Parts: sequence; structure tokens; C-alpha cells
Amino acid sequence: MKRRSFLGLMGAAGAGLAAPAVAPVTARAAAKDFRGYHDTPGVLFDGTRCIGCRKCELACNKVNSLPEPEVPFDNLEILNSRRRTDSATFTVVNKFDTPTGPVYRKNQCNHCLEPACASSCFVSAFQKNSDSAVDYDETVCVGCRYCMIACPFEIPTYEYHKAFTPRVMKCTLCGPQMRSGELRLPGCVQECPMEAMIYGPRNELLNLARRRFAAFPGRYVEQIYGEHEMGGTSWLYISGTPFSQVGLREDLGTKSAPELTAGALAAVPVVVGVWPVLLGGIYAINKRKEKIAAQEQQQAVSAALAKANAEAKETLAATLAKAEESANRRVDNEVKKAVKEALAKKEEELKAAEASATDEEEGK
Amino acid sequence: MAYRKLVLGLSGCLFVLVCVLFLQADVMSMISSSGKDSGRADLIMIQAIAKQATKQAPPVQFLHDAHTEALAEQDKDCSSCHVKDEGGTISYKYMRLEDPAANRLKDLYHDNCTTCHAENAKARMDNPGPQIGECRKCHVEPATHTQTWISSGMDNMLHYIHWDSDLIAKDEGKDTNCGQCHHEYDEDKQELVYIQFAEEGCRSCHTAEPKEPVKSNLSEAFHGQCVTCHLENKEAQAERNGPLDCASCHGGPQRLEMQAKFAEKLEEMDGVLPRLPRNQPDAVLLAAKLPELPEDATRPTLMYPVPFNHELHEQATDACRDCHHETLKSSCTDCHTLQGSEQGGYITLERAMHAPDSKSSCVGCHNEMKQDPSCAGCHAAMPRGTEPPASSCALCHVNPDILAQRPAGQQSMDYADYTEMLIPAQTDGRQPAGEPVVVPEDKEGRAALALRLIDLRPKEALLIAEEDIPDVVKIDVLADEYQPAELPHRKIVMSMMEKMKDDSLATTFHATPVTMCQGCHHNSPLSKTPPSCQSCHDQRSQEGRLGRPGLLAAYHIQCMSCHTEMGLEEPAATDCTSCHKQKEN
Repeated sequence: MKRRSFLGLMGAAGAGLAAPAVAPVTARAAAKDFRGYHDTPGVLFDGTRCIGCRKCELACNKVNSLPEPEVPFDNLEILNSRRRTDSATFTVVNKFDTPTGPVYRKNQCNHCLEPACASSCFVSAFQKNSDSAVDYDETVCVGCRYCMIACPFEIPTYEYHKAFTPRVMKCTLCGPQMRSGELRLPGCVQECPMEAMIYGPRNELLNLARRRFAAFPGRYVEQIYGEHEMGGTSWLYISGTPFSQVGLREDLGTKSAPELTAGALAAVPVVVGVWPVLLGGIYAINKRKEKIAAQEQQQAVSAALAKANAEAKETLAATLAKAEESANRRVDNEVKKAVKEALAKKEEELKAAEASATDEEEGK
Repeated sequence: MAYRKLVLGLSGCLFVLVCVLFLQADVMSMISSSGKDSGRADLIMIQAIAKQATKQAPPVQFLHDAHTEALAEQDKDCSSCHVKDEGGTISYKYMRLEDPAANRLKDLYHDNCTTCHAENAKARMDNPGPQIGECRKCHVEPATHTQTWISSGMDNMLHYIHWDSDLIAKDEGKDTNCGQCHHEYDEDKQELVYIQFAEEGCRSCHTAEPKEPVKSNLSEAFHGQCVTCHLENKEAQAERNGPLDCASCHGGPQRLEMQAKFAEKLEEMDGVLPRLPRNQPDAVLLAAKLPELPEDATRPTLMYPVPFNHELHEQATDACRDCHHETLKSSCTDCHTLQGSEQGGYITLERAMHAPDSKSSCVGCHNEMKQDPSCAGCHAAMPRGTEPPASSCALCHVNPDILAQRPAGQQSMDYADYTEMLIPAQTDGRQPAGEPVVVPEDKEGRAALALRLIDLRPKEALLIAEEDIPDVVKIDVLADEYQPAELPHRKIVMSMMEKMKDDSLATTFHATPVTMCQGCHHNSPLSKTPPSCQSCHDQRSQEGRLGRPGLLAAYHIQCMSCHTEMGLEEPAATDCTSCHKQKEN
């Protein structure tokens, strides 16, 4: 098959596949346009209250029995450098210099309502729990780290130093501890001396944030980060400075990760189911065509051979016949010649005998 | 020498390299210097061509101050480019009084600009300006400069400098010079006249698109008036002539510089600027104008009138137009009626006075004042909301009958007196049903009443006896990691009293001796012995009481936000041991 015609075929096949894949996406988007998750718990972080004391980091370390950090938690010098979470640090506070002075913001897993990590995980190691925590199951994790790539907030981290039992590590919203009754509030929330974080039903937190906007005009950027970002998160942020200035991405849009990838993922069963059949079919058709061509060729060859044979035979027969004829003719000629010679000889003998007879007669 | 050629070659290469690098650096610096500057106040885009049907060349970027400077060096002045009308007022436009047709305008610019530049070239000046044929030196695209200028105006200090100036001639037969600038149009005489004590702001007539008989728009009026006078002063070689360049009035940095200078000057004058000599009232009684109602209609509920200290507010504002936005001739209630009118932009009297976020409303302006660090410690933490608290109505809306109950001249100096004064007015400042309080109709009578009511206001900040203020408060309810904190309670109160000692706004509005205590002891009734913090902020975790801080957070938020707002850098919020000593064990 020619390359060009193959590509043409593929294009046609792609168009055919794309059409059924597009329809479910729009249907899903319409269905996703709801304001659900109202009574699930969440945490509201008020950036105007955080003083950058790192008590939340300390609490998180204790509650989750994480290893001792290199820099102790009472060292605030570290705030001068920008940090991110790692496999032994589930939360960090960063300092951002603004024209009105330093502003602090805590960073940890935002526990998205529809998490990208979960939707990207093909073994379902991540699950959004009914208590808002995004749980991780290390027993099924294969360590592909798709979750780390999928998360727009760059939160999941990997235990690279463990050769045999590496895990993906991130804030758990203290889900395990709270479910077991060990804690009533996430460790960081419990420990904050300024109550910069408030734990409660998400809708009440949204209302509380708006009440603060109304009570203190001009103090806040009147927007709640996490209300709609990436389809909404269980952690909500309010701030006195624009969110992009405190390291929160404002380019994420309001669609959740599964919604964004639904089209591509919906195409997976198509890819898995239809493509082998299609490609196999094309292969089979190609093969069959080739086979038929070969057969036809063979037939032609054998026909040609047969024809040649027949012709050869005919020629042979003709030649043979000719040869026989000429042989016969030669034999005849020889015979005639021999007969002639014999006759001539006999005549001579007869003549000679006649002559001797005559002589005898004469001589006698 | 065997390597001579090689050494020579290498040094040649090095030389070329250095040359290239230098050239490069030079090119780079040229790019950065020719890049867009941070914005010029004197950039004028000459777009004579904009009036033509087809665009022939990009607009000219004309740097006015650069030309003013160049002319000054040649001992020339504004009249080199600007003509004067028959009245001697200099025209805001270039070389003309009125705009001719577009083609003629183009010729006007081309002829005059190039003639002058050519003369400069003949005189062998360093920078004669673009010559004929160098079209693209003027018609530049894309623009290399950006224009940023700030609107200018006569603030109180600038105004004072003018009417106090000896350089400005006095009005005929008077010892003021207001008439040199302020004028009115007399319909009968068909000329501009000056009427003393009826002076108006320029903006009331010279709007952006003035209506007949007003001739010039705001910028023409300002530039014509100011520049003409400054130029005359300069020609007369007065010791000060006022700015003749753009940046002095419209440049950002220059304005800041000027404001700093003014602040210094005000300091020298002990912070008190002499009042403008316009016979403005010292006090005004602000009361809603009653709408004309049919006889049987019920009277709308009215607030008691507000005695307004006009004299005090003149000091506190930048210019008259901060409150009197367009004209000084009508009263607030003419446009801002009870129901709102078209003239007043449908802003009702109530909103005009109480809108919390408008700088021209009473409440809005007072809210601005609360952002002063001395006040912000308490006030920034107080929810402001969209309305002033109802309990504060009676502070402004006072029942004039109080005067009958109190002998004249008696000041309310103590708590009991002052609350007594407020009570007849009712806490919400509303007049009781029945006959309304009668206020005088005439201006003088109202002013006198207002003055007497203002006199009743406390002259000093009120505070309970010092020994009644707890000295040091030990906060030990939450001590676990640290030793109990010792709050220097009395010291804090006294230092705040000291800060607002001379502030009449605070003195008036901290209406009782315990009002100030509310800065911290909020949401509880006024009392000398307010309930403890624990009665609202319990020690429980934040579960179930969303938004109301627990005891630990309540203390921390209160102390730290106050310190931040008051600009107290010590102790740092994260320096735990400066308030709580480390526990020893």
C-alpha cells in the first residue's frame, strides 16, 4: 500500500472517531455546571491574619510523624527563600514582599473537589473522600508519578530516597487522624495562634469570607480563591494582595481536571477497543489484496507456462515430423540410389555375361 | 623575533573585539536611553492633521518644557510662540487665538516651527531643532515618549499663597486681591465683574465644554489666567513669578515636592492656615429641606439638625470643592434632596452625608481619617460595613432644645453631663413624633444656633479616672508553653489618650469616657468594668463557632493587628517571648 493512501485512510478513520468522542464532552460539561459540594468541610485561609510563625508547619510535622526538618521550625530566616512541599514536608509558609509589607501564605494540598491527581491515576491510588480529604493508597500505587504532573498546584511529591517502598506524599487534611477521632481539626488549623485558618462546612466558609469582605471594605481582594478554581477546592483563600502576588496561579480557569481531560479520556476506550480492530482490518485487507495479487500472478504464470509448453510441443512435433520426412526422403533416395546402382550393376553384369557368352560363343 | 607576527595578529584581534564590545555597549545604552521614558508631563501631541480627511504624517511629539527651557536660554519667553488677545491674556494655542482650517493649521505649524529652527541653525546653536526636510525628526512613529500628567488645582495652601501675595495687586478700594482672578459675567454690562464674597471656583463656569457666555474651557481658563499672570510677573522681574513650565503643576514628582514644601510651610505657621476671606460662616446648621406636603399628609420622620463646624472643616480639607463639588452658591440640600434629584445625581441627602466610601460624604471622610495610624489601631479592627452604627447618630443629630436645659457657656466636661445631653436627642438621633423642632429660617440665626450647639461638645477627650483603669493585666488563662503575659493595660490606654489629645474628631466622637475602651472591649455595653474576653471567646476549639476567634486567637489578633496598624514595629508578631517569657523547666 502506498504511504499516501495509508495516511488518507488514517485521516478518514480519525475524523470518524473524533465525531463520537466530541459529543460526550459537551454533555459532560453541561452536567458539570452545578454548585455542589455545599456541606463538605473545607479550610478558609485568611492571608491578612497569617504572621508567618511556622506553627502550622510544626503542627503538621508532629501530627503526621514526619522526619525532623533540617531547619528547625522556630527559625524564621528560612522564610526569605521560596520553598515548596516535599516528601517530608506537607505544608510550607512562604513570605511574599509586597509594597505594603511582607505577606505570608501557607501552601499545602488544596484537596480539589475533583482532583487532577485522582483523575490522572490509572490505578485509583487517589480518592476524594466524603470528608473532603484526597486520600492516597500506597498499596496500589505503581509509582508512575502522573499525579505529580497532573496537579496544577505542584503538591504531590515522591520519596525518591526510598529504593523499594517509595510513596507519593502530600497533605492528607489530617483525614486519617480525624476519622480515627485522634484530632477534631486538621493539625495546622488547630495550632494557628491567629486563627488564620478556619475549618468548617465549605458553604459556611464562603459566607464567612463574604461577611469579612463586607465588614472590612478595602482590606481584601474581594474574591475567594478556590471557590471556582480548577472546579473548586476544599481549601479556600482570601487575601489582601492579588492572588498572583502570593504565588497562587490565576490562570487555572474554573473547569476541574477531569472535566478538562474528559474528552481525551473518553477517547481511551475508543483507542483501546476500536483502533486494534480498525488497524487489524486494514492490515487484513492489505494482506488479502496481496494474496489475491499473488494468486493472480501465479495463475498467469502457470497459464503462460502451459501455453509455452504447448507451443514447444507443437514445434517439437512439427520438427520431428519434418525430420522424419527428410529422413524418409533420404532413405528413399538412398534406396533409389542403391536400387539404381544395383540395377546398373546388374545390367553391366548382364552385358558382361552377354559379352562373354558371345565370346564363348565366339571363342568356343 | 619569531612570534612577532603571531603576537601582532592576536593583539589585532583583541583590539577589534574590544572595539566591537564597546560599540555594542554604546548601542545598548542608546537603545535604553531612547526607550520610552516613565512619562512626561509636558508632552503635547500635535495632531493638526487629525482634522483632515486623510492622515498625511504621524502626530508630532512636542516637548513643551524642552522648548520653554531653550527659549529661556535665548532670552525669549512664551510670547515667541503664543499670542495675546486684546485683553492681554495669553492664548493656550500655538501662534493663534482661534483654530483655522486644517490646511492652514498645518502651514502655520510648518512655517513657524521651521523658521525658528532655521534661525537657530543660522545662529549656530548646538541644538537648533529639526530643519526643513527632516520631516521624520518631528513626525515620529512609534511615539518615543509617553504622556503622564496629573490634574492640578488650587488647594488651600496654594490658594493662600496667592491671596496673601503682595505681588498680586489689591482690588480697588479693598485690601484683598481676590478680584484679580475671580470674576462673574454681568449680563447687563456684558462684561466680567468682580463681586466680593461671591467668589466661585473656576470650575463652576469653565467646564470642559462651556456654555455661552463662558468663552473658554477649563484648561484654557486656567492656562490663560495663570500663565499670563506668571509671565507678567516675570517680565516685571518680580521676586517670584510662579511656574511657566508644565511639570511644575502637572508633573508627579514635582507635585510631591511642592506638597512637601507646603507641609513645611504649614508647620512654620503652627499648622493653622488663615481662613479664606470670603465671609464664609463659622458654623452651619445642617437640616433637611422639608418637601412641600399636602396638609393632611404625614410629616416624614426627620433627624435633628446637625451643627456643622465649618471653620474646623476648612482646615481639614484640601480645597472648598472637596465638599462643595461644583458651586459655592447653593447649599447641599438644594441638589441632595430627601428623595434625590437630577441635579444631585439622584444621590439623596442621606447618602450624600453618610455614604461610607465616598470621600465627599461626612461619614466617608471621617472613615478616611480613621486610617491615620493613631486611630487605625482600634478602628481598622472594627467592622465598618455599609452603614455607620446607629448608636452614633445622636453624636451629630442633636436636639436644639438641649440649650434651654443648659445655661449658655456650660461645657459638658464629665460623662454624666454628656450622656444627659445625648439622651433628649434619642439615641438614634430621630425627632420624636409630633411637632418638629423649629430651627431658625435665617442664615445668621441658624449659624448662631449651630455655634451654641457646637460649644456644648466636649473640648477634651473624656476618660474615666486614671486610678479606675486597671494597671497591669495578667493573661494566664492559656499559659501552657509560655509564662503568663503581662499586659501594661494602663500604659496602653494613656498612650492612646495622649495620641488623640488634640484631635477634635476623636474628642467629639469618643462620646463617653468609656467609648475608647470599646476599641478592645467591643460588642459589650459601655461600662467601666467590661466583661472578660473569655465570656465570648471561649477556649474551645473553633468547631461550632465559625468565625468568632477562640480565646488564644482573640488575644493575638487584637494585640498584633493593633500593633501593625499603629505602625509599631516592636515587638515582632513572631517574637513570642517578648510578651510571654519562656517557661523554665
